[in-house]
Amino acid sequence: MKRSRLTLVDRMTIAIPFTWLVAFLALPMLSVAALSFHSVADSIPPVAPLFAGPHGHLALNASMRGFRMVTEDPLYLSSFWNGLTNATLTAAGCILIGFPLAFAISRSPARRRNLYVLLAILPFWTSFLLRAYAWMGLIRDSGPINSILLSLGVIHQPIAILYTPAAVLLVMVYSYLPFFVLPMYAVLEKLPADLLAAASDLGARPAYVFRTVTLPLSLPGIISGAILVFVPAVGEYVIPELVGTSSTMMIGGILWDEFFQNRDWPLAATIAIVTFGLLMLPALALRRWTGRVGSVSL
Amino acid sequence: MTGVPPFERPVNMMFQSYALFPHLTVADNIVYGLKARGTPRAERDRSLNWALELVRLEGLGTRRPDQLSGGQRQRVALARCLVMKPAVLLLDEPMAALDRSLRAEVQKELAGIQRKVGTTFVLVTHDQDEAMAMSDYIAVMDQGGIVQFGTPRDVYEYPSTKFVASFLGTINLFEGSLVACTAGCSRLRTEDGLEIVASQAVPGAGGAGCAVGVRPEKVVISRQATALPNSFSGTIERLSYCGNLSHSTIRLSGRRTVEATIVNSDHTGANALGPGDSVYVAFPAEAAVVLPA
Repeated sequence: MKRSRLTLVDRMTIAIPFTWLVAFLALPMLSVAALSFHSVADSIPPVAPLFAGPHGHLALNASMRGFRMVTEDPLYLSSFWNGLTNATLTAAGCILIGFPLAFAISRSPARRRNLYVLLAILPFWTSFLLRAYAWMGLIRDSGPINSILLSLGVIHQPIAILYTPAAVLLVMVYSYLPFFVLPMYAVLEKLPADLLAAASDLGARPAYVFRTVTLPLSLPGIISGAILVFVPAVGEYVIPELVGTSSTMMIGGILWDEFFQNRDWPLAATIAIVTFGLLMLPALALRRWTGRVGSVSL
Repeated sequence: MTGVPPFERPVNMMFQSYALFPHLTVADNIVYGLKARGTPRAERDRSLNWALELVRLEGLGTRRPDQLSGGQRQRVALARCLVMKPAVLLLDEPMAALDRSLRAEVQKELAGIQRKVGTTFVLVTHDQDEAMAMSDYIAVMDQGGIVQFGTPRDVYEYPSTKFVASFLGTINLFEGSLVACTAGCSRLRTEDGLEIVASQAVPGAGGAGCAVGVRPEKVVISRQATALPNSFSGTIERLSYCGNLSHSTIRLSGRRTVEATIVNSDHTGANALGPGDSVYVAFPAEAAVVLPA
């Protein structure tokens, strides 16, 4: 293979984003990773230096306390578990609602598609917090949903939705839906209508067409949309805090508490690093897999 | 058929884009319809082998559509339809996606496959040469309706309307009114005073409006007057040499021009005509086709 030669201009062009990534992604990540090995100290910042020995001698003063706590204390283990399950359920909910939505938009008349996409992402234009509070109002015991059901006689006691895991899931699916719908729509919109017509022409019933043509060809969109939802959902802090219960702690909440309440920076850094690792492994595996599946050119 | 859902019609269609499933192999594309129909595996495999052999794609069953050439893709699309044994196969401009150089070859091949399987092919095309070369029957459509149906020769030599006459090939149209009509012969006078004789009786009384069409290759050009009934003098205005043929435009008196095709049988060009030459154009009465006005 001939090695491509880069000119000075090429190198400089690459150097700009490269410098950006090193300065604002790699270095902060490394400093968080380093922080996780520090010991706690009663100082500002609340950590002991990593290299410090007695009598001014230089010695490594690393601590594995963070990693031990994270791997041994059931509180942290269960918070990781809660975060992952919650994110998985959120992604599943987004697929269930978002796929039909994106499909319907992609098959609607071309001149109306942009309007529908706009409507799908319109909630983004208002503050995220405002929308979360609006949901709290809707699902509280005295909120419109319960009062309508009560007045219709469907229920005799208000259903407790707010401050339950179900409320967390509901609001999370609602908030993350556009992240799924957009990439899904992008893939479905490119799906040639000819292929569906050809399948139907060859005697395939609509359900068979969906299973053998639509679904396999939209898999790359489903996967990239699900990753876009799953990754930020794992560390979600605000929604569980607002509408969830304190009994199911999520990673985001634990991290916040350790950093701001307990001022245990090394432990908070450890949680962040472990979360990062937990997310990177499945994301990389999925990428490899879609790389193979996604090689299908339309 | 309008009320029958597409998946229940005994008709298949080959799409202009071929619409091959990009995620399936050639073999899976071909048996897609049989699988959807629930055909047993053994029978499916038999049909697959038959189809692959028919379209000469043996050994390419495991390829994906993006690993095939344009001509091969078309043959997969054809095989995918033919395994369904349709009553009629509709081909929507099958040559549109192919290079010009490939077309002639693919036309021959497609016609050969059609002869072998015997299925009725309905081929939609805008290319009149393709329509003429490939079909047993041609239906000319205008405004969503069929205006003439017949063999290529019928449709070309005896067009039923002025639209068909000028849509399929080139034609010289003389419009005017009927002067006389005897058995087997009609006489027409145009507004600029030309009198045309056609060996075809026209239903209609004298004075009725009608038109006569003559194909350019039936017009004879000569330096001397001929004995043909429809003979007019004029001047060559334009002459384009195309190797086997030359296309010429001859201006008669006034605004009227006549298109004539000359076969270049004299390779030295010794008696070649050129623009500005005074000539006679003539055509036999049998060459004139009477068309409704």
